[in-house]
Order: sequence, then structure tokens, then C-alpha cells
Amino acid sequence: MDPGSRRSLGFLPEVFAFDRFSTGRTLLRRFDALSGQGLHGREQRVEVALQAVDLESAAENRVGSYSKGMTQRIGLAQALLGDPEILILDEPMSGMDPSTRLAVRDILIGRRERGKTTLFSTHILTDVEAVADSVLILDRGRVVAEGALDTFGSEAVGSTIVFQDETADRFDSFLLEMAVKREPIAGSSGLQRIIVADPMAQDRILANLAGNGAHIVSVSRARPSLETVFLRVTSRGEVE
Amino acid sequence: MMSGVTAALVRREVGRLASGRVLLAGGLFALLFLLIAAISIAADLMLNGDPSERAAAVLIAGYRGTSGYDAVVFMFVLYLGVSQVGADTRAGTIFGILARPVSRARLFVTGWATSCLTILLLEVLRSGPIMGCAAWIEGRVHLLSLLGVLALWLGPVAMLSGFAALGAVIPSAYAVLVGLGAVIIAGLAYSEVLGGFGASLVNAVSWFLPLLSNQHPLIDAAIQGSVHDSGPILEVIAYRACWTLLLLFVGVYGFSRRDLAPRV
Repeated sequence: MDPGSRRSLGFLPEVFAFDRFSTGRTLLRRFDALSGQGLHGREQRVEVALQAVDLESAAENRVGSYSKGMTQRIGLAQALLGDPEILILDEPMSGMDPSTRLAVRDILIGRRERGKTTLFSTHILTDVEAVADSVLILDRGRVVAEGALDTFGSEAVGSTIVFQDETADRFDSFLLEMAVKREPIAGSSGLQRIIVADPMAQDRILANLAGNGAHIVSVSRARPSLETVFLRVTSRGEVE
Repeated sequence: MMSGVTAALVRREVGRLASGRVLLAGGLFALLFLLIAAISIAADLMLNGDPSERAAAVLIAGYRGTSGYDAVVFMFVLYLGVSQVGADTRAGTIFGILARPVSRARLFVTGWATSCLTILLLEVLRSGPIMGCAAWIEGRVHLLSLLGVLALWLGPVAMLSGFAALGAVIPSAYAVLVGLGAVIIAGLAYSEVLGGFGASLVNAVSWFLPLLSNQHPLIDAAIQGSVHDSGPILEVIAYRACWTLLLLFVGVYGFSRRDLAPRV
């Protein structure tokens, strides 16, 4: 791989270490120089990176004296130096306190809004839901699911039909025949929910409900939580 | 002029060396060793030296009296060579650097050059006072003596390249064992210590190793000015320089091909 191709890349592995003898600021200056950046603007780039991870107050301390969370933050700061076009992070938020985690989320969301690419791996699925556009799930080294977050996993679950009928139980035998179940929506006046996996069955159910006087409120693609999809598509779900 | 990337790598290497307690302790030990040797040699020369032969006597006594210093330098060579890539790989500090637009060749050569300067500094600590004293007494410096000193310095440099090459391709512990094995085999090659099949085997293996110890009589003679032909010492210099470059190339190639990945 041509080393020059890494000029626009920021990287933070899951397990990493930095020279313990350097201060945080010296470390960032060094990484800035190693990125091929000139002296011009170096101090500003370092300052921006330190501010982004809230480490200005500890910038003059040796990296060897940092706590785990601070080490994680200085690691992230070196990856963010110079706002690289592509940022690769492996478990970037492990070891961080909740407020720093939220700050890092904001940084990643900010990068997304500026059109910068961030590729990060994590086991904390709420972080993915908060930050990502696209998701890819790996299981034992194989890609088992991928797609845009908005519709991720909806194929696995199907559609949700919401209808209103005061005597909804009259549809039960038909719904049983279609292998689906009706769930009354709690707190509503006669609203019912049906989750349908098969698109063909969905059309027949809609026709039957509408033909028998039920009021169809909505038909939507259901997007399950990432956790649900993860358990569904990986072998961990089978174990559980 | 040095590029910003190379300068950053050099500064880092210097910081790494300066922060290492092993090196600091080793450096103090080396200085103490030289100080004691210097006092002993100076006293010996003052009491027994013939004033007309004092410059030659300084050179002979200086290098003979500090021959144990070779072992100190060798320990540095071993430590610096093997840990050049090994320490960074073990600590995981190498991945942050390699994620930047820094080639492995540049990283290796910069580390080697910094270690090389450290070794040369140690050699200067010994040779500087000895050569300086001899030159002061005689009022001039002999070219052959300087060539001899250069040849002497190139020995640890070649060994440093060998240990660095080993440390770049295999884990440190194995690099130490293989390197020490190579040094022992090279030392035994073509000697009369071994006989029969053992000697043949050692001699055969030594074809692939730099045979530095056999050249010491030539180097000593050049330093003391007891020879007048520069040909042999230039040959020794060329031999050691070629091995240095070859081993450096092997290190760069091996390191570039080594499969390195962060722990997960």
C-alpha cells in the first residue's frame, strides 16, 4: 500500500499505545508532522483536536500518566488531527465516561454533516443508531447483514398494519389462517396492530380487512431495533 | 535537508532512547568503565612509559586497556538492534505511526540511524580521548590510525544492522537467540578451537555471516601505526560497510514484508 494514500486517513485501533514519555501535546504535534502536514497551522490543528476530546487541561501531562479514558481520548484526538477525509475507529468509545461519549458522538455526527466518512466498529449498538448512516454486521468474519440505517433489518421483520375496528375479533380466524396475530394497541380506542412478514400475505390481509369494513390507519415498513436485527442475523440470537 | 516526517521520527527515537532506563543505566556504566580504565592507563603510562614512544603507547594501552568496553558496546548493540522494531511492536506504538503516511523503510532506517549514532557516540567516548591524547603528544594524527578507528567503529555498526534486521522480522526473544548464535558461529569460524565435522559445519554456516573478529589484528596494527600500507585496512572498511548495507537492506525488506496487525 502506498504510504501516501494514508495522508487523508485517521485511524484508532481498539488496542493501542502511545509513547509514554511524550506529553499529550507533543504526541499530537508529532502525529501531525508524521501526517506530512507542514509547520504552518500545526498548533491550531493540535488545539482543535485537544478541544474536541476535552483534553486541553491535561495536554502538558505525560501520556504515561493518563487514565484509560484519557488515553482513549488522546487516541481519538490523534485520529481526528487535521479533520481527515476518512476516519477509521475500532471501538472508539470504550472506556469513556457518558459525557465524553456524548461529545464523541457529536464529533462523529458533525463529521457526517460535513460530508466526511467515518468507519467505526462497535458492540454498543445505541452508538450506531445515534451516529451511523449505514450499518454492516459481521458474524465470525462473515458479513451477515448490511444496509442503510433507516431501513436496516426491515426485510427481516416486514410490515406493520394498523387498523381500527370495534369488533376486531371477527378477523381472528382469518388472521390465524394467514399465520399472523392481532395485537390491540394499549390505550387506543379499537386500534389493532398486525406484523406481516410476507408481502403476498400483506396484500390479502389488507384486502380482507378493507372488504369487511375495517378502517386501515397505516401500513408501514417496520424497522426493528439494531439489537433485534443483530440477534436475528447472528448465531448469538440462535443461542439465546 | 531532513523532511518533517523524518525529523519527527528522529525526535521520537531520541525521546525513546533518552527515556529508557536500561539505556541510561548502561550509559552511566559505560562512562564509569571508561573513567576507571582511563585512570589506570594514565597511571601506567606515567610510571612505565618511554617518553619517545608515548604516543604509540597511548594507542596500544588505550585500546588494550579498554578491550572490556567492547562487551559494553555489544550489550548496547544487542539491546538497540533487537528493540528497534520489537519494542514498538510489543507496546503497540508502531500502529499509530504506520497508520500515517510513513513507509516502513523510512521508519526502520530512521530507527537504525538513531541507534547507529548512539553506538558511534559510545565509540567516540572511548576513541576520542585515546586518539586525542596520542595526537596531542605527537602533534599530528596518522591517517592509518584514523582508518583503523573507522574500521573498528564499523564492527558494532554492522552487528547493529544484523540485530535490527533480526528484530524486524522475528520476535525479540528469538532475535536475541539467533543473533547471539550467529555471533558465536562467526567467532568460531576458521578457528582452531573446533575440529572435524563441527568445524566444517561452522565454517559452512559462516559463509552467510560477517566474520568481524578475524580482522582485529589488522585493525590494531593500523591504529597503532605499525603498518604502512592502507590497502588491507581499506579492505576491512569496505567489507564491514558492505555487510552493514546488506544487513540494512535485509532489515528493510524483511520489515516491509512482515505481517503486523494490532491486537483485538
